[in-house]
Amino acid sequence: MLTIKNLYASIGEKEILKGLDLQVNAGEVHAIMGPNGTGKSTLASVIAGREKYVVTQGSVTFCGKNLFDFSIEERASEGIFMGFQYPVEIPGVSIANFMRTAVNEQRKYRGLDPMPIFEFQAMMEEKQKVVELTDKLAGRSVNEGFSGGEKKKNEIFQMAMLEPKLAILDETDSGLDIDALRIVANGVNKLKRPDNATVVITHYQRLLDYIIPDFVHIMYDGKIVKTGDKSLALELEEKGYDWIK
Amino acid sequence: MKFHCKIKNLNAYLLVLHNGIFDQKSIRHFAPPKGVEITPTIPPPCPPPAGDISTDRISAPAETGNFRIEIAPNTIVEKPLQLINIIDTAEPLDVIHTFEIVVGQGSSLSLIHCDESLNQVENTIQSNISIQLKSHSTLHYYNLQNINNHSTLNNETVVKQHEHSHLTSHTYTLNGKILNKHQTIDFSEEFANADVQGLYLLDKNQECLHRIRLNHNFSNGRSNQLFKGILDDSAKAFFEGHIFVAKDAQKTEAIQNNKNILLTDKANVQTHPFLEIYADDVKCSHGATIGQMDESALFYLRTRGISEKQAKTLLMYAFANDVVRNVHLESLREYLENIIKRRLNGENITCEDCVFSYEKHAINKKTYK
Repeated sequence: MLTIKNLYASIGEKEILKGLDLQVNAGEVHAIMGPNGTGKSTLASVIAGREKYVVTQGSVTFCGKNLFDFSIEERASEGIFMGFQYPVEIPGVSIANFMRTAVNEQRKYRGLDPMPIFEFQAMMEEKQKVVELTDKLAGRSVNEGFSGGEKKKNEIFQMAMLEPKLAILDETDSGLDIDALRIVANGVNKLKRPDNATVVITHYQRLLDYIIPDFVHIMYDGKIVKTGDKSLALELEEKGYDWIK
Repeated sequence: MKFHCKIKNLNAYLLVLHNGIFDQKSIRHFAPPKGVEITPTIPPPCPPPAGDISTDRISAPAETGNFRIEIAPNTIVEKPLQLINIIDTAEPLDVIHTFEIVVGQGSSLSLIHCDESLNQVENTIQSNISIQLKSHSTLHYYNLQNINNHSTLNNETVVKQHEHSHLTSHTYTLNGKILNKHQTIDFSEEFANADVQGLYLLDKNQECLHRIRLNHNFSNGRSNQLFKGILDDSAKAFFEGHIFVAKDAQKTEAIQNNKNILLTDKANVQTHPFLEIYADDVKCSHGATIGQMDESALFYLRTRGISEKQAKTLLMYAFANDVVRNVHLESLREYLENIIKRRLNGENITCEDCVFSYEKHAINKKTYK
């Protein structure tokens, strides 16, 4: 599904990704771990298409297509979803309006008619249950005045609404108490299907108690330095990051 | 000629100033309800309007466009009153009109004042409005400015507020060449309350000026100013907000905000907040921002599949809606939401499908002959 080969990316003068390789197939869950400042969030941003990062070398292929041929919004419509570490507050734009616009823009891209309003409302109600959000959500402004937990639940709710092929969740566990963590992780698990894939970026092993990865990658200084199964995360928890340096 | 307002379910009493003449025949469904008195007036000679007005232009007769609306004490006027000031002459026209509104003690009124032009020539419109709010009265005053790209509008509004009176004054600037609005609001007794808001959406070479003088002369007054603007192309906006708090006007609460989004390098905003405070127990604040679109919010929206253009429209709409959501008449609010969306999508909101229309063939004959 996603093939990254020898990827280099910079912000300004600073090179952050330094020859990263990654292969993600349908039905898989990958975890990327690593200390602060090694480029985990940069990787997510580069895949999503954030313009301040410049790719200097390497390739990213998504479902057989060159990812860099697509704009930010086209990547989303091609089936890539990014869960933000810090979801952006957008006062004045209601969640319902936001999601309806997003769903219909993606449908337009795929040559489908806009979703009928009643069908959309039913979908909103159903998907909110995935992360135990209340139905008051629809009228609220996007992330405005949300607690840390609500923001992250809202990310997973959006993922449920948009049904991506590939979800990249950047530090979805940060700032969550244990109950919110469980709800968010269960949400991700409920959305798992044989034809989609998830990449979770995290600092801590505790998220992986709930979301069981097929592969754990350790990232250090702009590339993946070690890959293993879920036991690698436990080993890392025990030994700390110094061990991989 | 039939006048008809397209705002759904607004169900307003309609007053029409047609080419500067108070057109009594055009009033439909309108026998003033009990307690509402509308009388033509002859105003004292007023100073010539600002700007360069050549003498060989046609002027509407000065004595025909003026009237006084008086609401008797303890009268709640259920339906809004809508004043449509419309110009459709083939030649440029200068209109000066004066109106006076007195809202009696304990009474309330909603007034929608639309400035419209159906022609495409250089009109000049001067509105002199004086408003008196007696004690415990309420006035919701909404001014919709939508004149053609060649015309100038000068609106001079003076308000006097008695104790426990409440003013809502909203100005929506949708189109025009030069739009000047001066508002002076005097709190002449205690516990007066004023919400003065505005939204200006400008493009091309349009210019808009808001000058507000809010005089807190007595204690326990509260005022809230919120003006927001979105400027495209080479548009210009000026905001001058002056809050005056007299020595004895203790416990005053006065807030002022002016926020602007510039969409191009050529668009220009000058904002001058000014607070003049002589009392020592007050809560006053002001803020002014001029900026571009929030990049991180744009990115967030786009990662969900929303195109850049749509994302910008959503953000601008949200910015504008901060003002519009305070409109208390639901039908007017929905209407404004709709035309603002269309305006932000780059549509030119023409009068025919806008606030008001009347028999099409009449327009065609008069305007495009």
